[in-house]
Amino acid sequence: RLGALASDEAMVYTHIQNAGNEGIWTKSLKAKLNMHATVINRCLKQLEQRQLVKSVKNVKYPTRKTYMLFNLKPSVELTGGPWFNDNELDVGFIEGLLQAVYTFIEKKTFIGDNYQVWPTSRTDKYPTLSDIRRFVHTSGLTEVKLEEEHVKSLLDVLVYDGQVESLPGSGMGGWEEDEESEEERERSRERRKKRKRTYSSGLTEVPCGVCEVFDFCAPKGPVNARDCNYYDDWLLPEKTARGRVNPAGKGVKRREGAEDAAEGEETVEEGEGTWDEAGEGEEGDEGGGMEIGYEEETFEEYD
Amino acid sequence: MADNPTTRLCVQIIRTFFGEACSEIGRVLLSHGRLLLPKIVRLTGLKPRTVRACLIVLIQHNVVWFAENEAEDGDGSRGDTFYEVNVEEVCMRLRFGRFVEIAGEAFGDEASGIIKCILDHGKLRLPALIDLLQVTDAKKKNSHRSTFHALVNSHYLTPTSRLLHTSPKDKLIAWEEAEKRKLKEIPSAKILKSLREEVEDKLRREREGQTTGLKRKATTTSGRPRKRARGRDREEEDEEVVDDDVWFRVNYERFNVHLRDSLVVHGAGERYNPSFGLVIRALLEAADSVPKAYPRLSDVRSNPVSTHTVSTFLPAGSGSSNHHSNSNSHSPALSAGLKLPSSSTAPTSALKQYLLVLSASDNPSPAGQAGAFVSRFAGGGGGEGKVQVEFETIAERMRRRVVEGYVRERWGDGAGRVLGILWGGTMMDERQIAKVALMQAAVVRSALTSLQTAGFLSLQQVPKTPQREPARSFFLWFCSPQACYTALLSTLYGTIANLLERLEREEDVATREVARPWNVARAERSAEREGIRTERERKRDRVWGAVGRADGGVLVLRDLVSGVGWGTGLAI
Repeated sequence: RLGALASDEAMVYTHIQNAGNEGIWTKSLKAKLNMHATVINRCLKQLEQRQLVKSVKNVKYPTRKTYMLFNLKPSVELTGGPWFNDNELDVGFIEGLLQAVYTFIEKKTFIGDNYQVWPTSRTDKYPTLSDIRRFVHTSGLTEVKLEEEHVKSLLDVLVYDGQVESLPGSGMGGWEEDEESEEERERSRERRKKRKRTYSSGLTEVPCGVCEVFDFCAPKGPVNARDCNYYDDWLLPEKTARGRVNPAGKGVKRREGAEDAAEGEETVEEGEGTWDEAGEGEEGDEGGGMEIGYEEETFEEYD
Repeated sequence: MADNPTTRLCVQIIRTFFGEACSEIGRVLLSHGRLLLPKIVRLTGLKPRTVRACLIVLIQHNVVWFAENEAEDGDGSRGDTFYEVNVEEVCMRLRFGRFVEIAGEAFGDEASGIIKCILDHGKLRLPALIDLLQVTDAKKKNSHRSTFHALVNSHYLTPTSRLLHTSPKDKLIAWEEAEKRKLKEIPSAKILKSLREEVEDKLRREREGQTTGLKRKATTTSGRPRKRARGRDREEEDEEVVDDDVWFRVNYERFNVHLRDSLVVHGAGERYNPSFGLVIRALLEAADSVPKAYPRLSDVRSNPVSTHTVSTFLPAGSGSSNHHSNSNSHSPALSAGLKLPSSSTAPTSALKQYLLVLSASDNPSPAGQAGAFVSRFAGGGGGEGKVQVEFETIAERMRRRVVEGYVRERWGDGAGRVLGILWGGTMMDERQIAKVALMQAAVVRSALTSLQTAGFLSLQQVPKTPQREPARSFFLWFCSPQACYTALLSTLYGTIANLLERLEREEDVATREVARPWNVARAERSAEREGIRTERERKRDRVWGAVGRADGGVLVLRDLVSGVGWGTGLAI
């Protein structure tokens, strides 16, 4: 099989063979062999036709073309490991796993309805890395066998999210259950859950907290707090129900009736799309806050 | 000081509490700094008489400082008075309602009446206070006096003095310069900082130590004050009585300490379970009960208390159950929180277990200690070990959580995770972050850019080539917590200002509505009147509730130990 190759093809093949599991990039191949791009491409095409080499996708550098021997499996580096599905980070899978691990740790941390916690003398009650790994395997969430480092990276993510914290292990208990080679394990690390509810700053319940034009909003400007649409919605839910409110700039004709007014308003808001439009809408109503108030009254009177 | 959120907020608050004219003066003073009276008149366009009256009101309420011009140079000639706004005072007005409530909880209804009165008037003397409260009954007068005395003793009220009416900035700068001149070599940043802190402390002591506001009671017929028995403090309360000629004002810091304590208790309850909240509350009460304790907001940690003292402050049922059969020796609340080995242990040992968890003694790593509530507790035998509540650590954690909560709600969990990874100064580039966070590169990128525009993250360019081309360099992202705090603080200020402004408009509209002829007619029907009134109250409650919550965020970020602080506003 090899004998039938031309000299340059053979050189290309040898280099690819040397790259082994990792594969080799076309550009580096070109640099090593010092051949012209077209020559190399021709060789590669021929080798592919003969099913001697194949091209694989590298998850770290998706735009590169990486080649390796046909019968080899790409290394974990290239495929990205268990998190990647078709070279795409499988976010749903990861999130599912995170949730499962978190719930597992939560159950082990808090006992009963009163969220009882273990005293410090019983840290061995908290799950260790190997416990969690075992849980993931037996839970049947995935057929993929996860190595320790994968579980560890999951746990690290949970730590960054502020959901769990890691405690230095008691050492003894972990070793006994340890099946892996001793030199790989430094110390069994245990995980405890921190029931950290996010501390609300009170900012986000107010429209200003999530308002996109907050920086633009100023007392006498086109966008200001007095005529703010979002404040209308926030302050006057009952008024919308009665159809009295007339959000700035949206026109009087939207007084259809109780629910419709509320819904109509919202759909128009979402339909606005860009924030420039919303700004303009409010701009057109500058100084009109009070006037529209008057109009409201007159309409009401002749109800 | 340009139109930044702080200025806007102060102006808005002054308008809400003092009206349009005063707020104009406030605006002018905040934008231009210190000013002379004629200048203020010119800039506001108000009549001199109005300006004078407003200034008197603002000074009475401690909102405005004044200073005589000592030096020959400068704008005015010798003897002219400059006026300046006291930013801290203005911002504290948002919390007045809570102060009244706290006073009521701590000392009873009389106290809340007293505090409310003093807050309404800025500063008062005791006789004037009694008149204003319209207390005629002699017995009530006495009880008011004693409540007042208690408030003064525990530093809820402080005497005011001429010194407190001047801006501390002048002295601060002068003393700092003097200290710097004493140094021999060029100072480093650390030395400068410690210098500054020393000077601030000195200044604070000077301003506070003017007088205690109490005087000895003259009891002997000849008019000589009774000598205190040496070595024996017999009936100390009879010896000292509130001085009738001293003006008192409310000491905001003492009340803020209460707010801080309730935040700590809440935090402990959220972190573990409600029983821990109880334990922390007992701990804090024990620390405050130490005689001569003067808890301050700037305390890094509380007074040390022994376990035994704490157990006396635990809710009822924990001590007395010792006498019952030993099936349940500690209060149900206490045993509910921790899974203890056996149920017949003494109450103090259960408490010790709680304290062990709170001090994170099972996690001596730095990350673990950063999560502790209480200092290292060795669990010494027989309840001898002393514990202190670690305010600084707790404050750091609370600030972080405020920022993270805001980021998560505004930009999603992805951004929250990214922030968590970068918190504390770790520098990473985009690829690394995506790998560690297990998120897609695009998601990470959008999160990073949004956080950067908001001021939470910054970039560090590390070039690969000597030409420093942007295309060929690493861009490392990092987060400085201080920058996050300041960014969030200005957003909070702006939000509160918006809320108050909106409330003003709603009040205007409501007043106008009520006054309209057809509404007046309609309001004859009491149902309608109720409807309009409750509508107004509902809006008011909503807005002030939101202001209160935002102000809670401000408390965490700015006022707690090693928070953002006041910058040029200076709370001394």
